[in-house]
Amino acid sequence: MKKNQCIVVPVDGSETSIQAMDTALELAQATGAKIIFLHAAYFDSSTDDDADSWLPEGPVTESVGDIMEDVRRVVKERLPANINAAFAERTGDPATVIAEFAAAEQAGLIVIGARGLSTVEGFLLGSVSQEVMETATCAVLIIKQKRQEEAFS
Amino acid sequence: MIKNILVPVDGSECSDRAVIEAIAMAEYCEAKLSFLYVANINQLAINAYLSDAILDAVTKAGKVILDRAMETVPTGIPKEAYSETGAPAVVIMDFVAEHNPDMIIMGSRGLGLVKGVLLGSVSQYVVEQSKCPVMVVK
Ligand SMILES: Nc1ncnc2c1ncn2[C@@H]1O[C@H](COP(=O)(O)OP(=O)(O)OP(=O)(O)O)[C@@H](O)[C@H]1O
Ligand SMILES: [Mg+2]
Repeated sequence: MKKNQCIVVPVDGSETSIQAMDTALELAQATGAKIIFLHAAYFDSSTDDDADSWLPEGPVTESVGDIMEDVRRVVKERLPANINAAFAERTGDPATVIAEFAAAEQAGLIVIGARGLSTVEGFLLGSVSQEVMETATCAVLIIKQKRQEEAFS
Repeated sequence: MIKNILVPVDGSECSDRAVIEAIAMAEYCEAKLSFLYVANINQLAINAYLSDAILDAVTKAGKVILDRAMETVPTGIPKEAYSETGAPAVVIMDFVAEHNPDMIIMGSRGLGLVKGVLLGSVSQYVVEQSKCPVMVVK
């Protein structure tokens, strides 16, 4: 990653994506890179607000706006003063959106959580992480959910 | 904090790009670089029985790859080279368990020639098994 390149951090509101955010902040501090937090969703908020929505209740139906609001709040709490951060929301297939967004921004790195919100057992990587890792044209840093007690001394 | 970066190298173009990324990261974070080459003995053992000559040749090839990586590192960045034998994916994860790096930086592909595969089996295994962040370089 070159100094003038940005870091793209896809966020879905999951715990792992918060950890990806923390790692990205650390890297941004070390490199001086700008961070762009990106939320991609299949549906825009107008679709989500539809009363006839066929989607079940749960995180899937949470609107893009809600997730980005949480992200903004967490970032505000943790963002070191000298770091430049931006927020972006896009509609479409998340993996495609993320890879294309990073390419368009000429990002030097994508920092992404290994798992997202869906908790299908037996997979070590979420489908979005897997596809981003395969198709992105820039380097991809995969973050695992950390267990707090795992501090080495 | 990222203080120890593991860079598994196999001499492929992708692995060379991973070395470049790792050097940049080590400079930013003032971290130490550990290069690891795994001589894939399992693969060789399929049709040849392991003579000392074969072992010797593989080890020499590894030394060339490791030397090339080490020479790329600017002075001032701490670096070490490790050569191991066995199945690369498994040996890399054994190394990780023993040395606890803060980050792994490796290529998305290696020397494997299977077309259409976007991610090599070694990278896939390491990304799945590793608890520390893994950077996959294109
Ligand atoms: N023998 C090895 N020793 C050390 N690192 C390795 C070794 N083999 C692969 N790697 C690392 O893993 C990365 C990806 O290589 P990998 O072997 O997964 O892909 P491939 O060779 O294209 O596919 P496959 O081996 O599954 O046919 C390399 O860029 C390198 O960083
Ligand atoms: Mg290989």
